[in-house]
Amino acid sequence: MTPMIDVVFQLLIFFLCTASFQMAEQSLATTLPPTGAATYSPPKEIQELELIRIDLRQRDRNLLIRLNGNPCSSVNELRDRLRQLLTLAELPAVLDVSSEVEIGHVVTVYDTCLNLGLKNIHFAAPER
Amino acid sequence: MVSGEWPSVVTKSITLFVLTAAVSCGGDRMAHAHHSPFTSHCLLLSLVQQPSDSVDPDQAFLDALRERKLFRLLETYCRKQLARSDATPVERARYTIELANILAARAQVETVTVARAELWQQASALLRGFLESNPQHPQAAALQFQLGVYELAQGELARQHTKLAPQNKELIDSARSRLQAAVQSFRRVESDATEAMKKRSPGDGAAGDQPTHNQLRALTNNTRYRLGQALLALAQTYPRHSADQTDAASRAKTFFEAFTQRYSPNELTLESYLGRAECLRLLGDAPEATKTLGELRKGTPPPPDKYLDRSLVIQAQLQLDQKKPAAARNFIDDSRKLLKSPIPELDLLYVQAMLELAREQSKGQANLVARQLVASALAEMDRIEKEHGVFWVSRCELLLAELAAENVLVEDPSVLVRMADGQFRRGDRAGTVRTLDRAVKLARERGDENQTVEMAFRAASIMVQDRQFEEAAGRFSEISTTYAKHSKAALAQFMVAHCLGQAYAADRSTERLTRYEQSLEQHLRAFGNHETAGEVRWLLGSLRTNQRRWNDAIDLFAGIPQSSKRFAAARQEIRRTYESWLGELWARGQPDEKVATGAIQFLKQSLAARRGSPFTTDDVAMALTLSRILTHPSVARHEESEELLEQVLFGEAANELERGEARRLTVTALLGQDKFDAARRMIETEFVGVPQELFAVVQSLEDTAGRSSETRRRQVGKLQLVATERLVKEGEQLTREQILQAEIYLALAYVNAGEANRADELFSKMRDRVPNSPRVLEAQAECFMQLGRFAQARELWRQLLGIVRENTQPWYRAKYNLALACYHSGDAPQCLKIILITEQLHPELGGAELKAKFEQLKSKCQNP
Repeated sequence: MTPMIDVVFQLLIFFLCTASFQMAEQSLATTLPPTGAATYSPPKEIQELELIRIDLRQRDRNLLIRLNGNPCSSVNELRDRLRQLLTLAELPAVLDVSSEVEIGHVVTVYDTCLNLGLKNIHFAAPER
Repeated sequence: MVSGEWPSVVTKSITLFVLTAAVSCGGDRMAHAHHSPFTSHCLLLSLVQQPSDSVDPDQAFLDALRERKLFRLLETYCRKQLARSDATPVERARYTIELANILAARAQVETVTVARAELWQQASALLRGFLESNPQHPQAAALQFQLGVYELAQGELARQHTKLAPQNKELIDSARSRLQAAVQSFRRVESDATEAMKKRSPGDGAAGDQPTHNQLRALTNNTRYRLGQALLALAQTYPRHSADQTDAASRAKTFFEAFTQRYSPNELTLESYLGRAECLRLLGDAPEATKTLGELRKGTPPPPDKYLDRSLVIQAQLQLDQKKPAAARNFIDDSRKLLKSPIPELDLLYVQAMLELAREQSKGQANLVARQLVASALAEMDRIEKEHGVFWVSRCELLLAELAAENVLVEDPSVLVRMADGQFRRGDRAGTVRTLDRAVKLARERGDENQTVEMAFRAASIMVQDRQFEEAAGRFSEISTTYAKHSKAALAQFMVAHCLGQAYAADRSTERLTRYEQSLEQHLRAFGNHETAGEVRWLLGSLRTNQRRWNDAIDLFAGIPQSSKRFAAARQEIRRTYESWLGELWARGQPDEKVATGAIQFLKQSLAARRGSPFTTDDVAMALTLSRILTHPSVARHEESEELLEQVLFGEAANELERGEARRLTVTALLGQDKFDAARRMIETEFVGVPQELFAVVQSLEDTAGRSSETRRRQVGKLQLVATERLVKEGEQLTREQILQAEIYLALAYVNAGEANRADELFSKMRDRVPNSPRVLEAQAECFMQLGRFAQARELWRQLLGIVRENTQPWYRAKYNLALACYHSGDAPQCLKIILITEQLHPELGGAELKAKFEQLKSKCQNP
């Protein structure tokens, strides 16, 4: 019996050591580029198209979204417009988030972009 | 509040009232026999200067300037004398008084209230300042007296003001304070002069600068007289029969009585009789007042007419005070027959008498008689307005307003109209409109259409002046619809449009614009043949031009008749509209044949009318526009253009700018006819020392080259080289920006002339000198496009997109050209992607012209 118990304990210890309960915190890029330093340079064909620029601002409790300068009334509208764009090409996106915007809104927009299949999502460096 | 502009007749009447009395030493010993400075100071109290017997050249000079009313010169001269450090005290006093008198004289002819008040203040401040710094000056009394006279004049003027605004407490208080200040001044003078007289004996002669006993006595007498005047004027500012009035009038009477113990024909005595009579009237002692006037009239020798006239006024006033309007009216009627010229006060009292009578009659229910009396009063008021002016008729209107306030006889529209006139003159616009509305209601009840429309129109016009445009528009609209057949209906409708236009100008909302447009259209529908239709067409045409509805605009401008003052301007507007329209079509690459034909026809017709005569300025503008159209590639009638331009250049009407434009167009016309040698000669000879014109020519050549075939482009390119090399050589006259642009043109010229290598070198130098210049990049990219080097062009357009700001015209142009370069490079899918993504993110696509180009390119990509 004793060897069986030993084996069981060994297995237990093994699984305890190898099990992970937390997802790696890699989904959200938390390291912002230093101010002024260009860390992303898209290929020329993509440069010819356009960067998707999503501006987020907050006034009182309302989130104000602009897509390349054009206002969007809600995250749903943003999603629809992004979906149409992404049928044309895989474009990089830059999120320009103002400091007063709540993190919840930022994550919502980010998730929206991710769900649509946007792969290159960058955060604009804050202005000095 | 009374309007700022005061009729000069009032200021003159006050002048006569206040300042006519010369110094008198109780009778006939006039001080002007003496030539001392003190005496001349007293004489200066009157504006009517006695000719001086003095041989003093300085005094003669001053008198001569004064006679010619050269007040500014007088003022300058006196100030210069006062500024002298060696001026004696006597001279200082003299010039101070002289300067003060000049300022007072200017004040009396000044009609602008603010300027007048300032002049009075300067005059008073001058004297006050002198007295404060020289209290023991021998002439201090005369100066103090003069100060009193100014205060009295100002107070009297203010008192006259209050006659038009009897409820204006501020004005009344201002008048009273001035008059009280005058009284204080005169009292001080009286006391000082009396004290000084005690130190002198009657037989004393002049002692240096000190006044003689006689002179002091003259001053004292005059001061007392002035005190009487000031107190009388003060009494007249208080309510009738009030304690203050009684007190002031009593005191004034005491002063006047000193001069009426014995009749004498001198001014001071005669004025005192009148003053006393007026005081007695204010005190309610009619018999005594009548007696005083009787003494005046019976005096030997008889007094001059002006005093008799004024006594009539007081007599009539007495009768009115005793509630005898009929007697007053009859008295005035009889008196007027004897007068040599009409007296405004008497005429005013006549109106008052008639209105009093009307009031009595209406109380006795004899309304017909009362109405007739009011009608006569109105006729009399018309006459007063013509003969005596606005001031007197305004006072009559106040009497009418009092009648209306008691609701007596206000059911007559003509009475209401008169009242409204008075209210308007007093600045009470809201009251005027209310009164006119009452008149309209009455006229409507009586079925008098003309009067109804007239009054309603006037009321609405006043609202326009008050900038109540919306309400005024409503009123005018009501007039034009209710009285559509009336002669003023068209004008009323025009005013609706005018008001709505003004309302739109104040607040440019869509709703207001729509209403404005609709009113203009409504006017043309209903009154298309009326004389106002021309103006309405102009307004609507201008609106259509702003809306870019070119065809409608042209039709409207063309409908303006020759008789309209807008006719000539409308022709020019048609020209400009055609030009804008064609410009839009050409930029979009849309068909223009019909419009161009219409434009050419119109312009030729306009110029045909001038056949045989030299061009005028308007014709030059027409000719240049026609030339621009004729030389456009889609029209290409270069020979006609050349002939036309010759007329412009050989004529006299064109200015330098127009000549430059004509020369530029001539080069284009020559090129259009392939007359390259002629064009070269013209460039070499005509455009010397005018780099700005050469710029324009170079631009034209570039445009021409851009549209030409390969062979033709080379020839044009050679010409371009000639022009741009000269332009670059004249670099010292150009700014840095212009030099850069000239070099760009030169590079483009090299490309057109087939010397692409030289163009590359030049671009390379420019990019080293000004790296990342969007203009250079754009020009080079366009060159690459022209040379078919699309890959290089693509690279440059891509760089340019990174430099220029998003959503600007250069950015959209670069986007379009990038897509075009991709297409020509065989990468149609990329081209399509660029267009579709740009469309998604920027729906406006840089405006209508660029949008059309994007659409064209997109359809090429989608349908190869």
